[in-house]
Amino acid sequence: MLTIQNLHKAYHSQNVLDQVSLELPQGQVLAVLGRSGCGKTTLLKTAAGLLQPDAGSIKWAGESMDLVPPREREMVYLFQEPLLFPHLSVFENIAYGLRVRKVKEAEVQQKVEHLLQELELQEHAQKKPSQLSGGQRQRVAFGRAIIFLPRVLLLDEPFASLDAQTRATMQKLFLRLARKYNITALFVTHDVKEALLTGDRFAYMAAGKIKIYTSREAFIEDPATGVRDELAFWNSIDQKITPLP
Amino acid sequence: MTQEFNHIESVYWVFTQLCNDECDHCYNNSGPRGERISEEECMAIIGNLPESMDRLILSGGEPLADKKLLYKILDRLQGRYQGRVQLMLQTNGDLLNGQILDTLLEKGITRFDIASIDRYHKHAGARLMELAELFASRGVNGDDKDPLVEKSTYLTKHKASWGYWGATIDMWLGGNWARGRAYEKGLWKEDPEHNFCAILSGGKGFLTGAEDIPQEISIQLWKINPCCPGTKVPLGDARTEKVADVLQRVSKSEIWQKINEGKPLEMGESIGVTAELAKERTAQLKNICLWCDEFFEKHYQGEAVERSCGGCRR
Repeated sequence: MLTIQNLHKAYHSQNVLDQVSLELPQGQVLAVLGRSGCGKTTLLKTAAGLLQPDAGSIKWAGESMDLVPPREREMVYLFQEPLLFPHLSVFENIAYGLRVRKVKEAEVQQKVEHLLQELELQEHAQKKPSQLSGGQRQRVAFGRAIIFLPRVLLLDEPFASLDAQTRATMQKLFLRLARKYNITALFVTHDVKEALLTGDRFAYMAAGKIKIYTSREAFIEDPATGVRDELAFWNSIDQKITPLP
Repeated sequence: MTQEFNHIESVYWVFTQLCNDECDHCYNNSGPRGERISEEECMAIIGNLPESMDRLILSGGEPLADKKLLYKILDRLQGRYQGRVQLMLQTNGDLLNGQILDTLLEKGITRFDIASIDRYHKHAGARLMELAELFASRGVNGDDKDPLVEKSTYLTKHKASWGYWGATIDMWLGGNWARGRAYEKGLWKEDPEHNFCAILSGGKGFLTGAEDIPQEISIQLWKINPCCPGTKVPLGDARTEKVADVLQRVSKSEIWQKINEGKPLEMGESIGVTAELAKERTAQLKNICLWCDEFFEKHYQGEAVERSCGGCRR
């Protein structure tokens, strides 16, 4: 379980994180909906240890992460533009975490090949990142992060730069793999549909404050999230389209 | 060859072999007890660099392990070249923090290469996420991730940029240079057919440049070399000789001309060491750099051109 308590951070006397608290049980995905500048990126980077909070604590399984450096937290922050190793092939990028941990070659081969299949990247195994599309690069980054099963994945609008179709494919892929590998993740997005699709739990963030919902229904019903408005919009479009002969 | 050498495209300078890490694949035995040279020697070397260079890559060792010296070097370089040379830093990134990055930017570094993303290094790339955040926080551009090696791209177009890379899987399987700890530990490339001299970081083009390969020399502490692995007998001593004079001198030598052509098997022909013998010995030694070493140890006896190097040990 990831436990964040009363996280606080201010830049130039403006609160970016304002008493943020949340609990996330293992194997669940918390979708955090929020617009630009609401503090959601700061929340993820603070969880990853990339930024220091002014106050508050982050715990994993009851153990404080406050003094644990980012590289030892096993809470992986996935950048929008993935940090792939340009000099390694797709296969070696994904295999990297296993090789560093000195996993036996046969196991590396088996695990990476399996994951390449899951990610639908088999035919690109020997390509370099520069030869891939944006969506493919994100898949490699995702594969590299989950192959050693980190404690928490921190996803910061991971599909924002992708076209609509690729984005939908990636959302489904994420969902399937998150279930299969029992991934614990904080998934921040400004996209209502993406939040609804990827989350087991839901939160809304605005002006550094986070609101956690007890259920999907409560998240949809809260006027602040804009979910209802968006659904109403799509329904109205639907109604306009359906009467056509 | 009548070329002037007051301008060099690229200079790679290992100004320290001090390092916080001690990797098995290191070609120059860098480590916590690595060899160092004094500030005075470094200042003399800067005074002897060519009048103009497109870029200067500062490397080690770990340059930030010898930070005080690095800062002095950067100050002197700025004093002499006034921003006309692109200054690049090759580092493992372990010791980099916000304060140091600010200082380096202020002192004129325009390119940072994190050259430690491989399994040999202590952190094995695990700091990459932190470094990405650090560079982003200072507006250092990360679009060019690859090492800037090709002639058309080797100068960064950004005000400041960073990239990252490391020893590749091929190198893990034995592609390292037959030098230093890599050699001692048997991690070097045993392939007599591989002509390291003809690729980037090899000797090819050190006098004239070549297609796609910038004209590049390396200075290992003070030893001026045509290549990064280094020849047994250096071209000269950068503490006591002008680099341009040294290149001018060796450019008249048929031996060094062959290295400039990337043809080390032919480098002894002018003194009666045939390419056949060279090929035979390379096959036995299993590495072209080891043949080069043997040539300088056994066959090379200086040249008709008198050397002015007082400080060379050999």
